[in-house]
Amino acid sequence: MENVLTVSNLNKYFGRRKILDNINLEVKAGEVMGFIGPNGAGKTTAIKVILGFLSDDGGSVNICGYDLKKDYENALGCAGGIVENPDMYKQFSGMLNLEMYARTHEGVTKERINEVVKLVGLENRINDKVKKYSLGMKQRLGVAMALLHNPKLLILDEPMNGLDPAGIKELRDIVTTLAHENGVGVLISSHQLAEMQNMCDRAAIIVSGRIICEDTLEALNRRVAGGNGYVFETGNPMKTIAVIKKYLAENQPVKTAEAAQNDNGNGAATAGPSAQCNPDDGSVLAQIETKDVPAIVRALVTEGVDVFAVRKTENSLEDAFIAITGGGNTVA
Amino acid sequence: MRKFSALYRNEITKVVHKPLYIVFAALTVVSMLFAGLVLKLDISAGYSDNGDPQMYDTEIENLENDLKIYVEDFKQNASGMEKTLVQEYLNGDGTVDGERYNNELGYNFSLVESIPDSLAWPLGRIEYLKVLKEYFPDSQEKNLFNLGIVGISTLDSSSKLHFFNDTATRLSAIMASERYEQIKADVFKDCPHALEYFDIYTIDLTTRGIAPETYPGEKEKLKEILREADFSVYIDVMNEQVKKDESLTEEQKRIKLESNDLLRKAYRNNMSQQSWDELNEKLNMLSNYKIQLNAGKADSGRKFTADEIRKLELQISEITLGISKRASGFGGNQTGEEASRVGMIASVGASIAQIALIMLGGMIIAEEIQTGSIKTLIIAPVKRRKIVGAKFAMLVTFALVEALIVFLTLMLVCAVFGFGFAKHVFVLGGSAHAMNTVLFSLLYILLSFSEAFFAGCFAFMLSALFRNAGAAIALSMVGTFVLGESVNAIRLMGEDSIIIKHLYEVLPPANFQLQEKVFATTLQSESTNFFAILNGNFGINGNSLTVSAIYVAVFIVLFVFTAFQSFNKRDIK
Repeated sequence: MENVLTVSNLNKYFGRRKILDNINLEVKAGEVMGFIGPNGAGKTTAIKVILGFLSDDGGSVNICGYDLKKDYENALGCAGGIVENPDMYKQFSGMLNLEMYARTHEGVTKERINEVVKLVGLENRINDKVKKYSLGMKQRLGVAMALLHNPKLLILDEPMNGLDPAGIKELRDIVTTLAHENGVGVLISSHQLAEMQNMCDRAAIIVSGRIICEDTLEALNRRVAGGNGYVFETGNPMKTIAVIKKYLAENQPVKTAEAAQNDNGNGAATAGPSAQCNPDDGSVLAQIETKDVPAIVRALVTEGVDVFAVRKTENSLEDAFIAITGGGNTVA
Repeated sequence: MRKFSALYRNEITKVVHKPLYIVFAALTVVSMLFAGLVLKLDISAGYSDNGDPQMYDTEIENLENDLKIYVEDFKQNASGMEKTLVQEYLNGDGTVDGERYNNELGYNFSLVESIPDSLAWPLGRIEYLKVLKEYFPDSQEKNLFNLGIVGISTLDSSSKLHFFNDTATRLSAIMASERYEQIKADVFKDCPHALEYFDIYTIDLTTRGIAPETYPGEKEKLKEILREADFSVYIDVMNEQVKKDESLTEEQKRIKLESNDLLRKAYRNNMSQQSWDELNEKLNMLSNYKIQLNAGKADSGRKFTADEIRKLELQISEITLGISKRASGFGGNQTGEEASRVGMIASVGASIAQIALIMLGGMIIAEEIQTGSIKTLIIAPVKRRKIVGAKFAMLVTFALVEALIVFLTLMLVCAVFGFGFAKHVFVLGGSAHAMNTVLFSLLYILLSFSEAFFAGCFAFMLSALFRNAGAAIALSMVGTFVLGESVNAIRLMGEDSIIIKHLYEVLPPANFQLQEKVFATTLQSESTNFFAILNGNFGINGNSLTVSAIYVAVFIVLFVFTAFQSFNKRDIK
């Protein structure tokens, strides 16, 4: 798929302080790219540079094949977005805000405006003044504004702030539909990692102005020590561990959590098959592939271990984020 | 262009939907209506400056009453010095030693000193003679006359400076009133010789308003101005008035028209050296005659014939009237006061508009950055220069709309309060022009908006620089209202300093008020400009219209350029 956003070697200084350090980022058409990082990492700054709020101090931004510096209007014509809070003309109605914004784009019809209003569920309040809107309604209006001109690249900076659970779900549906059905490339930053996990295809993690990791969510999860696995509830946890380790030893090498962590120089743990007991409930967590489950169950039964349940367990993006940014505990 | 147009439409939407600007527009209208009402009530209250001589009779009576009080005071309290000097003189050989009075003894007549400037000329001198007659009933006619000259001279020395000030029209009207003639005839009833001189001296004094000898070095400049000026339009208006004047006999009309034609010849573009010399010769004759009279040798000098005096008086009174009209700027049916009125009401509107423009200029960029709504503009696919360009276009539009509101309200005020729509006569570029009041007002308002627009652009620049509407507005208010006055004050304090003069001339406050430079001789309040022009100072602030216009334009371009650069180059964090 073609890139709708290509950021190359982007740098930005505020005074002497380097805010963005050689950022490279790609968003492809039809994918949702999560942009995550701790507070002050440079997410919003990067987005502001991409959308023309801030000038860069080196590097380039290319949107849909248009260089932002050389072909500013065409580049931004392909993009829509929300940056930080959805600030609009509060004294005007939502509809007037949309109409004014629509004027700056070619081909945005009244029908299109009504369409996006319906899409974000603001039909009943669109003629109210924005100052009467809740934060969630403003977010919806901001999304509507960003979608007005059918952008190929949608950039949403913390779009879920202020949204209620239903609103978040609606936004998720909108974003995924836009990406997966309409082929829009979406760059979305948020602190709500659980939601990001449900929404994103890929994610880039930025720390101290540097992107330290950019990959699919699956691959990111794999980097977490322990990775995805299965929980075995059996009558003999210790024997269960022994059986699993024996099976793994016969079929593939086993790494301890410590060893796995040591494999990754920047602290991001890499997952590998292992097994350990949860002292709270006596269950056994094994980082194994799905294909190994039947053989292990058979082995346990053969060894006389009662198997009560086998549950699949997955690491979250949050786990990956904490692990990769060095703030989380790995599973061993 | 399409995007610029879209942005411009958005800016209009923002202003139209903002109650603040609607309030300012309404305030402009209400203030001007209120100003019109105040002026109307003031006029109705009794005092009138409409140029009608009859209206001054009451005023003259009031002045007479006032003078009686001064006379009584003089009798009771005058110092012995004055009495002694007068007595010395009366007992002497009949000559006047003005030097001794003014320099050696450093003496000034307390009565004369106590007479307010507004009374001093020309009524004051008549009253002075009246007092002398009463005080020294047995004095010789010749001595009385000569003594009167001293008083007159003393009076004139203080009053001539005010000759072309705001009282010029009033005094002209007083002089033209029947009451004045009666008083004069009564005073000089037993003193025909003095009356003759008084008339001539009055003519001389009046003429000295433009007489070269009073302003050494200015003769050539004056001649040049007179040559360049085309008073045809003005004379036509004057002639129409004379023809319609039912109080004049046919003979009087003929003389006045003849006199006007003389003026036309004298003042038209091709005024010959000979015409100037003829006029100048008559002035010199007057001057010589005065010297002879002053030396008590009037009888030995050439005496003017009654006809000569009448013609001269007519001719020069027309010049006087012409000058005062030039000073007040109005011919036709409109008086200087009416011009002031139009200007005053317009200036009220322009001041409100100036505040509104500062508010808009100060907020138009900064407020969007402060509230964050700028994001919707930045994120749109338009270059920043188009965004700031649209905002500037809105500022220009707002200024024009405000000017239109001021103009329409002015017309409404003039119509409602009956301030009239007569033609304006003014001097521009050395030529006289007659202009319809409606057109004049429109032009005047547009030019007077130069300061308001300048202030708006200043606020616009600060808005882009500071990104804080409050700071931009406050600084612009201080900059344009307070500093403007401060700079003027500095100029006045350093009037004699060339450095301050030149420094002042390049500062913005010195170059505002383009309307006053264009119509420098139009408004009564600008009458002093006449002398300023004579002295080579074009416009009250020292710069010519062209130079001022260029300065103002340069400053505006600088402000707007700075605003563009600041908005284009700086990050929106």
